[in-house]
Amino acid sequence: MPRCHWRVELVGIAVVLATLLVPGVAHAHAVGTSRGEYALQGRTLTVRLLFARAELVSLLPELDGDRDGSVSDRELRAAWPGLTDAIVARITFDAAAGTCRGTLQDAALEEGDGLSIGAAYLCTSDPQTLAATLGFLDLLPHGHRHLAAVAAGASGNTGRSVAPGIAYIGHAQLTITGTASNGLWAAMGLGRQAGRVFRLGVTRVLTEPDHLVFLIALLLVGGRSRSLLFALMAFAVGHAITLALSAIGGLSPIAALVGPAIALSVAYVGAENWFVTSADGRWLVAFPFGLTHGLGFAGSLQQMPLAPSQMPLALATLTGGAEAGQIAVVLVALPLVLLCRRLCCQQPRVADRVLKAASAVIAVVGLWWFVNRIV
Amino acid sequence: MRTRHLLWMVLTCAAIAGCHARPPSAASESRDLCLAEPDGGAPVDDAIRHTQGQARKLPTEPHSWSLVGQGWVRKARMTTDPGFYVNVRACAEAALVVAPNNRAALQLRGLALMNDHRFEEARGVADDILSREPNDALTLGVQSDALLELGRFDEAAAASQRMVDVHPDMASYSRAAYFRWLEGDTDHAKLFMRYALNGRDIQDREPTAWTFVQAATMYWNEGDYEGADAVLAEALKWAPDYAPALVGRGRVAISLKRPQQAIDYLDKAYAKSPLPETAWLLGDAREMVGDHAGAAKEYARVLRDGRATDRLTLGLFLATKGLEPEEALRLIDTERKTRGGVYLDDAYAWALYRTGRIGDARTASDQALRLGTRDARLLYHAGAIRLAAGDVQGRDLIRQALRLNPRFDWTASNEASRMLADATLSLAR
Repeated sequence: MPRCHWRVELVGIAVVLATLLVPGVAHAHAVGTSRGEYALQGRTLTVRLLFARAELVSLLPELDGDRDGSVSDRELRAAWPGLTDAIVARITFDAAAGTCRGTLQDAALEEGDGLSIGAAYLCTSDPQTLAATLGFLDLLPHGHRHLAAVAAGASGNTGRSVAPGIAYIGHAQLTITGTASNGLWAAMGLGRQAGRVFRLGVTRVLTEPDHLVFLIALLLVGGRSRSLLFALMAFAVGHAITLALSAIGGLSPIAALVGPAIALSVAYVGAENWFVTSADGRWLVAFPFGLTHGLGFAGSLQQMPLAPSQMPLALATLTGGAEAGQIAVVLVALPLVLLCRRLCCQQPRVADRVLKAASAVIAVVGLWWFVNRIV
Repeated sequence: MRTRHLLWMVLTCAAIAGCHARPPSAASESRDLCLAEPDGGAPVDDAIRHTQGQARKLPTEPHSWSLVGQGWVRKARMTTDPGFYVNVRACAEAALVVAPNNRAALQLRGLALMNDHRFEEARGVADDILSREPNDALTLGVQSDALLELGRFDEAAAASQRMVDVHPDMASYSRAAYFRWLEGDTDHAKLFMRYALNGRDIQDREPTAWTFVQAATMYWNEGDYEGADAVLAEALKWAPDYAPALVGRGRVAISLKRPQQAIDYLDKAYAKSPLPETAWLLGDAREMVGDHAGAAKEYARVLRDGRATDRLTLGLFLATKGLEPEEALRLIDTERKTRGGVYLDDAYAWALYRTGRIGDARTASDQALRLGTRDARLLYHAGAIRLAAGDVQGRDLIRQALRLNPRFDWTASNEASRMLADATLSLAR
């Protein structure tokens, strides 16, 4: 649930500012960056790498054999064996892949100061997933970063690359999943991935106090089970609608408004508990507040590398997780509220006062969050 | 019930008003790189993870991306791994997709550009921010650093002065100290360094360690090796195994003729941060103990890494060792296309000297001395060039260099002593 921790952030900025302001640590050299695209189809892994020429020259001085500061096509052709040894042969794989023999397919000078290398690896087995070690990184200068993108999508249907990773010395492992499967979900195992999204939904509900407090406030007022159920369902439906809209509908919450609005919803329900005696008709309030709370989940799916075709399933799973979390809250909180009422059944005034006091606390907490989020 | 219906309508409208057409989300690659796992268990890694969580929750809030970027800057500094600026740049771009004029994101972009040695662009970014926020201290720092790298000393010093005026703290005072030192005003440089260190913050240790390293360098440049070593030891208390401090101690140990100790420090430093400069010092230390093969290996590292990323250090290395003079000149000349300053002028002068172009070397050397910097290397180079041009005043400069910092470089200080002896002898004749 998005909240604008402006105060915390301002403190963070103040601390970080001190670091940023001090003259830089002497990074006397510029950082080199290379890129790689990796696509595994069947037994063949194709790799396209793009380097800055200066970095490869430092690795293979023969690329600039005449020492004129530039790489010519002739020098590049002459350096093929060196490129094979320094780059192609230094990408190695785990034993599960059997033996994968790599060959340099092409090397070309690219626009600017780029130099691209194409290589293909033929493996003896038919791996679903390859664990590669990019050993060439050991030869590149300190600070070098390799941006690796693994192609996904059935036989290149989408041409989309997922989960670009960043590899560098000491972190040179790369997991490459075969493109025979359909995208990340299939690649990682549908069940496992769905479980991950489901857990995300549950966790988001259970770790966000304003969500929990709102649900408890709804329950505190008591009343007929059917009315309570209606209110909870209306909240869940509203929540699911905006979650879906924000995930696939091209809508996005205004973060600065949503956080305070959620806080106000908590304060409102806490305050309203003083004036209502049952949950009858409360769905009318729970539904729009559900819409507001759902906006708080907007960022959840954006962190996951999902193809558009995978979005409905992910959304359904995330919503299912969120609702499961809410049910868990209800299952814990409702018996406690009922127990409280039962214990005080001889003295309904006491029960009323206890619940009103709790509602007042909730209202104050909601107002506190509201102020905190707008200051 | 009517009131409730009214309330229902109001709240629903409000919820819908909370939505708007989605602003452009951060470009996918930038977002992914910004949100990359920091791979570590240090407090800075935890802080990055925390802010990444915020950015995931608030992807349309530019500030959340900037906070992650600031965390990556801290990690880059703590680890002395400039590669993390790739993440910094990604966070800046992620924030700027959402809000193209976001100041914090532009500052991060400026820092990343500085790290990429794109000084002119960094200056442009700083100018842009300062046109809207003239007193932004961080941006004044970026502007000052960029101008200094571009060789525009006076403007850089003015930006630094404004920074001190706006925000007198460790960052601004340490910059002011460096400017004073470049101008040869070592007393004020040390005074400002003390002011800077008065602002040390136990919560944020790396900047303090860095400032101690800078202070130690001033002592070393004056030949106070024991003092420099003590200050560097203090730096290591603030940030254990801090590579710049280890390199400093290695350099001091070489000056104190304790090569084995130097190797220990420099090996550790190189393992953490394998820079050409460190390999150069390691090579010198190994030469001092007679490990010629080990030294050759280190020097090969200087050549390999310098060619890829640090032309200035490589050019100066080649010129200092008297190797491949034309190549040294080419490297430094290439570097001059993107930056300037007295140290670059000095390296250029020395490379020209090695190629025998004494007239041009003299001109460049005059430029290198224009601020009055009290650095033995600059003085020695200037002296040697003047002697080669037939100017006997060169002898005084070399003597001055050796008096100031007798063992400023294992190769060069020996060479300077020989040159001074020869010059004195020939004058006596």
